[in-house]
Amino acid sequence: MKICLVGNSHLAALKLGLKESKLASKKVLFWGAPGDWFKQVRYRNGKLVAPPDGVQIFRKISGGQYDDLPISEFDVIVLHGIYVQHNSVRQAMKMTSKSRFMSAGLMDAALRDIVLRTMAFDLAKNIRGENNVQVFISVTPLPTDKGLNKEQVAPDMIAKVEAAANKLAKELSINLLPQPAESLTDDQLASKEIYANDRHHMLGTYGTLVLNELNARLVDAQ
Amino acid sequence: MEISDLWAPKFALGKNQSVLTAGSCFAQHFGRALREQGYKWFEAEPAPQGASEQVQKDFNYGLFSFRTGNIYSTALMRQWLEWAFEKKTLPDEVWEHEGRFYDPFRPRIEPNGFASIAELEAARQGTLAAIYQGFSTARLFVFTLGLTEAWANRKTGLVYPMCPGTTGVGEFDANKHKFCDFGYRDVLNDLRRIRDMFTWIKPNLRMLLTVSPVPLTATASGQHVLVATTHSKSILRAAAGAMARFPNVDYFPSYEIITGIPFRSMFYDSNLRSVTPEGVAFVMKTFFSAQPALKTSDPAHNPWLAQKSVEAKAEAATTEAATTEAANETGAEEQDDELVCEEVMLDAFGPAR
Repeated sequence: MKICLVGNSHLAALKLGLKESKLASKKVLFWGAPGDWFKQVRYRNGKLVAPPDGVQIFRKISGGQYDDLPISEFDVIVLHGIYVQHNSVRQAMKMTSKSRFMSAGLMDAALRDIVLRTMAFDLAKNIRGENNVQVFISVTPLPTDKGLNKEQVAPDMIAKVEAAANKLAKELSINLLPQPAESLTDDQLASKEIYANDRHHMLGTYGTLVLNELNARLVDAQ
Repeated sequence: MEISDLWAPKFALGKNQSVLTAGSCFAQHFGRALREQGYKWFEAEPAPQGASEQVQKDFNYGLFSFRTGNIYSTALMRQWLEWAFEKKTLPDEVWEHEGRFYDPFRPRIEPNGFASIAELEAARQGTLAAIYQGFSTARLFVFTLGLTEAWANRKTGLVYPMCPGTTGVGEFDANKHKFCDFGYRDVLNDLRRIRDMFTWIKPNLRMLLTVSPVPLTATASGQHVLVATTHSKSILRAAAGAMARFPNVDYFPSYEIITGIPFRSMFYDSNLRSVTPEGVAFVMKTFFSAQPALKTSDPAHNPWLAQKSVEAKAEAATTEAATTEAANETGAEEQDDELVCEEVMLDAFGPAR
């Protein structure tokens, strides 16, 4: 089974955690680049296409193997580190902040739309649409120091976004890899222990948890 | 063909004056055109911030100033204002269909109905609050009159926007529902009531009446639809004309521009019902070109407007600053990401590993 872990700088945690994970013995390739380069990645003609000015970074991350990523060469594609929850929750909070009334139907439709417009879902949808490959979206933790904290998040908003993402993932035959339960606080935000010194990226220990969760899903699927 | 001076507006519309639009589907063109021309179309019930255009459209936002859906008859407009302004008892009639709940007075407002009666009522309260706010704030109310035919509840007398059952929800029952073909007096009385109500809320609010040039596709009157259309539009046109004698009411000839003999039906689509984009553009061009902007709305000629212009500029600057701040906020997150992530990633994937 060939697995490709695709993403932005948050891939670092997976790379650091791979050795300790249950996926260590599997054939795993990394492909990605830091934020601004990764944001320009598009799916075209069976490939994830890197932006021209960042090709060397993508090649380097893949161990010199790929500029663009041919999806058909893999059995599993994991999109990691692209904000689904974080941006969606922020947007959903903004959405509900000033409106007088939102019916549950409108909330569902709007959240579905917000999630569908995230880069992770956009890429995953396109990949799944044309390839017989398992696609996972590994959610990025909800950081406690980036404008989302217990006081600011409407109590049920995270759950609502999660429900919308799960529903959409099911509809599009995409697998959502939730944030490992061990890394969550009681209020569903990320526990501080998983953060690196920059308080933005995650430690290798978090990467190990994610990869073990992925391994469990792959084993279940088999 | 050039026909000029089709309309001499009774009052000037400044770009800083809020305008409400409501009525039949033709009213949607007014709202859109006002926005495009930089006028202050007042969306009293805006879509949730960030909701996509498709979601907004599906849930009937951005079409009229309030989320009422199409208001074809003057009676329905009067009804909404009575609920909003006079706190008249709200009807408890709800249409249930496959476990979802539909508002009989705007059955298409939610594509799949409401989850509960409580939700339906809360949504309606939101709209009524928006109507109140809109009429308390705006300077001009553009009301496009569509039809004289409607269906009403025999017991309550309340008027529906469409016959129960026609949208797949609700059920027509001849014992409960009746057909109404409002006459000149009915329409005029409704319009008078509407004017009285909003004048009480906002004495300097003005009303601009238009008649939709879109003909009926069907009639329950028993007449031929062509005859019924002429009957209906004639009543609406005459009532609008009578109302325009009030100092705070004006009439704009959308109907004449599209249906007028000199225009040889050139503004109708091939179905001879829909108005072409060119027709709408011509109507709106007539509307905007008649605005005596340079005479009365130009701040250079009007001290009050000059002051308002300063206020508007200050408001615009504040809005722009807030927008920039919001953009910077997002950008900051991304930039922040960039500041640290390259180092983090290259370190993890560097040769030492």
